[in-house]
Amino acid sequence: MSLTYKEFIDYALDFKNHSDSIDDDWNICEHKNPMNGSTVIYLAKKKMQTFKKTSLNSNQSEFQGEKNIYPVMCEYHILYNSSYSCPDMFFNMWYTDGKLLSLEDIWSMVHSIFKQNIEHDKWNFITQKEHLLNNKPFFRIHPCQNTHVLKTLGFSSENIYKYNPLITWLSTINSFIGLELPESYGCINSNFLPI
Amino acid sequence: MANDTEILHYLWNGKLAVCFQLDEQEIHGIQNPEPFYLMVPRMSYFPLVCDKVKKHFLKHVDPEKQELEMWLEYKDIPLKWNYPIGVIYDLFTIDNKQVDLPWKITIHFDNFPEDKLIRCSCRDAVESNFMSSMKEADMLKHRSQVFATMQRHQHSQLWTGLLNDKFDQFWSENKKLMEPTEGNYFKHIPIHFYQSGSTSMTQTLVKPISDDGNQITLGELIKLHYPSMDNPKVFTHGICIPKETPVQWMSEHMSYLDNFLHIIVV
Repeated sequence: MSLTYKEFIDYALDFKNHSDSIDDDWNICEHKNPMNGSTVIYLAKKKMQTFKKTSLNSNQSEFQGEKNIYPVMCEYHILYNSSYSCPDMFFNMWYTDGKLLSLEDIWSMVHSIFKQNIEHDKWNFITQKEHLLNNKPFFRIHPCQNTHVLKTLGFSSENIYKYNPLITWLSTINSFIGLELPESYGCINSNFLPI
Repeated sequence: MANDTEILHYLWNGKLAVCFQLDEQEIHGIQNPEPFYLMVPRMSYFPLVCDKVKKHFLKHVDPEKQELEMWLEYKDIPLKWNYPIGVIYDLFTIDNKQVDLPWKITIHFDNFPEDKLIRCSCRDAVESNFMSSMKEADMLKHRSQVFATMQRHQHSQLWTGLLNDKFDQFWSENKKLMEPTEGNYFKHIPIHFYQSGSTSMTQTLVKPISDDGNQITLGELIKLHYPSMDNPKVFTHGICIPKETPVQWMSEHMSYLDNFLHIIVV
């Protein structure tokens, strides 16, 4: 399944509406293309969160004591990727002293259930990449599987408009990047009107 | 298919003379390090050619800082290792005037500008960046149908061809990626646009033919995407490209190794 930019806008607005109703702090941002002055939109959210530090290679248990809990400033951007015709997740995370988390830190955040898979293929999973719009370094989940994910989850031309695919897609990746996605997002499908 | 191999060889062999110098503030000890001169391939990436440079300067920096990641700067602008070397050089071309050679680049170990540069902790980072560009380019050209059906060893031929500067090894696989599948054209042209004097890149969907079936030329493309610019010059590989060049031809013959055209508008 692939998404046109126009569809992306509609789904993003739908997503933002629900976010507003539950105070989930997602915003619609605009970026002006320096070449021809056209504007593109994306979803963005900033949130202070607390994370637990675990090592990617260790078999430590989930119970680790207070000293491994630390606050992190997180910024998430959901952009439209025109090469892959799909949503594209960019994010950054900083310690409270303003220092960016390292890629190793980001990999180590991933839940222990998935760790083995990721250790094996981490360079095809999350890496640092230039933001598609502002060219700044961001972490990014590799997008080439996104259209595949949506297709596997049953987004075909028949039922595409019954659900908001942005939400379904987000629910497959949010646990990797410490992004909370309240359950109520899963209940807004019936309200979503065809474009 | 790209059949004008003379051009491919010519671009592959494009090199720049670079003079690396350690930032004065970072010199540790009384002896000033000698500058380090190197011919670097335009098509390659700085982390792949800078091992010797790093080794040369490492003994002249504070031992406490030797573990830090080396980064490069020219005229106070940190250089993005994830762009091909030739692209970075051409970005500094202003009003037809290219940077004097040897290109004087400053080496840093301290104060990595993490808000401007992607980190490059190891060669895997370069490989991942390069291969994901190739994959994206194939998505644009063939809806990913060529790259996805290649075997792992074919992918590694592409990477090691770049790494070891082996034209035949690289092109034995890359020619498959450069064959138009639908008729004589790619679906879209993988292209990155830059404006000289700025380090930001823009990308947009570009078709090789217009709605009425004619080949789109470079001039038409630039007019479409930079409507406000008055007759700009367009460079790639340090060459000013004639406006009547079809973008499909350019994509097949003048792409960098990541399969993207990198166009600098001056």
